[in-house]
Amino acid sequence: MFVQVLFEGLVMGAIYALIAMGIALVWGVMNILSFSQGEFMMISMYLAFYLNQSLKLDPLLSIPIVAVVMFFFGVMIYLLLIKKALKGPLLSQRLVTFSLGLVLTNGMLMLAGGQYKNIPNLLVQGSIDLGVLTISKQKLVPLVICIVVTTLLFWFMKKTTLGNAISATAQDKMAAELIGINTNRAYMIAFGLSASIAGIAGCALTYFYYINPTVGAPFLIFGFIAVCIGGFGSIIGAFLGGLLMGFIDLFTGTYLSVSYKYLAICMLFIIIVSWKPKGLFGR
Amino acid sequence: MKKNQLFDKRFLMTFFSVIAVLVIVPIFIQRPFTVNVLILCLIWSIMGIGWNFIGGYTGQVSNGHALYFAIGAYTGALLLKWFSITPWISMWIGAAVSALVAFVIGMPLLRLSGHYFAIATMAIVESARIIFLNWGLIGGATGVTFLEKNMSSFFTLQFVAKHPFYYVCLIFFALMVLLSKALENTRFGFYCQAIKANPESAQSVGINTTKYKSIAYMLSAAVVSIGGALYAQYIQYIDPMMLLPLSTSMLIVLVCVMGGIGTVWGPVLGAFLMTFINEYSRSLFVHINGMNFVVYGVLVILIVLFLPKGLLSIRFNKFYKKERKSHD
Repeated sequence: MFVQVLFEGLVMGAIYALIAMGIALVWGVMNILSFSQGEFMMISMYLAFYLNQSLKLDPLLSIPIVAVVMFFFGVMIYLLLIKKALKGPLLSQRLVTFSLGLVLTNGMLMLAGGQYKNIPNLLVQGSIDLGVLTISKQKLVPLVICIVVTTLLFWFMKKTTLGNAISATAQDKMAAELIGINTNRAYMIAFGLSASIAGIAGCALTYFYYINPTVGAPFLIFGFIAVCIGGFGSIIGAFLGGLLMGFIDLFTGTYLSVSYKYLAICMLFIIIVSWKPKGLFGR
Repeated sequence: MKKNQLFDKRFLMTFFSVIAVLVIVPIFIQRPFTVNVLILCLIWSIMGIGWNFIGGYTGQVSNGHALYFAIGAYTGALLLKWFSITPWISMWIGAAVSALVAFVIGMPLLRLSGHYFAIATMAIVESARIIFLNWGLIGGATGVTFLEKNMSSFFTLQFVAKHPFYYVCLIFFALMVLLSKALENTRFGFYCQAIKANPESAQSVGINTTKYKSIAYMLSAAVVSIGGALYAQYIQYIDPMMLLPLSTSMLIVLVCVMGGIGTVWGPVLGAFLMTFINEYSRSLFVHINGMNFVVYGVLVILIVLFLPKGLLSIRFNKFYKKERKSHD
């Protein structure tokens, strides 16, 4: 039982970590609280659903398509809204992303209706029995995807010129501009990447979660909390914070009470933040 | 400080003309829908003014004022239902409860700044929603229905017609505008604005920032809670999902940002604009599910992008330019 819960917690944590890393990227680089991250995930879930309906494509195989589409969607949103909002006060940036989320949720409600959907006939099915632990393959998929995405993201940020340019912009915008980095382009790519990560998270989530226009909201707030617990804008912090969030979610849900599990997450967050105002791994 | 400095002449002129318009206009409106919109405008104005104390003047942007909205609404509703206490009294009890909760929550949270404070207040509202949903004593997920027909409508503040309630709201609205202006021109208000401008230098000149942030937070909670109490008496039905979603907290912020943050008239202007857009788009697109929020969201994005300092900044810009030209 305990090992089983540990595994399920890891799976849920992987999804929270994916959302949190997208938020941390935008937060760390351009200091914006991206309220539309959950909605980006919701849109990509619908994309995966319709790709499955029309082309009989499995969500696993549609990941590259969705990731690219969401990247360009993110770039478009950046060019249309965020670029202008960055010049305004902090609060108006927050309200722009919140209103964008409102438009996306209700736009999807208009297009697709409010019914709950799920994708039938998944490619990876069945389960592996290990005695103490029954691993459902459907839940193994998000875990593997999360590990792959995290590794790729780290490789990108540490080893490529573009990734270094984004990190440099995050640390000091003025200095980055002085050494010839196009910060506008760095912002654009960071925002596109974060939308793309949300897209991958959405595809992975369709493996074991329902699809609905409002599905993004709970993931959003726990993504925020994961980033805060992890520490100011650090991607590794967000990753670990997301995993922690998943464990608490499943452990309190299983051993204490399902209705109070989110309360446990919020309380833990308040305690951690009042003890360490910059988060566990904050600088 | 001299007492007559509290309200300058220009403010009093604006104040009395606004109140006069708000008293006279509804007399000529017979359509209940329009009066309904005006009542909501006044209630949202009160809440915007409340949020403005902490978010606008003191610069601690809270994303969780739905909590105090809900506390005010629940206190008013339950005290009337259980003990037949008139809302005229219970709304002040609700305000006191809200201030107390704000004091307790503020102790750990007000040390946080920027995004951290916003997310922490969001987490508090999320926790509150779970507690309210599972707390059987106060109705849980089914909420509270509290239509009282046996007592006089003046006692319960539940009227059949909309006009009397409108004037009750107007009284509170006027009081809150005066309170807001009075605080702006007192020592307390100056301290708050100093904390917003630069917390470190405020601390260095001897302002107890923790204390004044805490007082501003309590005050703002109390005012929002009075708005909540009025809302509950008006709707006569409350439940946690209606009072405590993220969008309620964000709407309170939105009202202030639309009008102009840290000003007396900003929240009022913003509340009237946002409520009009919201209610009329809702009634216009009633047949298309979700269309009203799309229109609302797009309008908000446009206003926030093109007028980041709020509607009030338009007039000030022009005024400023004219003044400069005359000096040249």
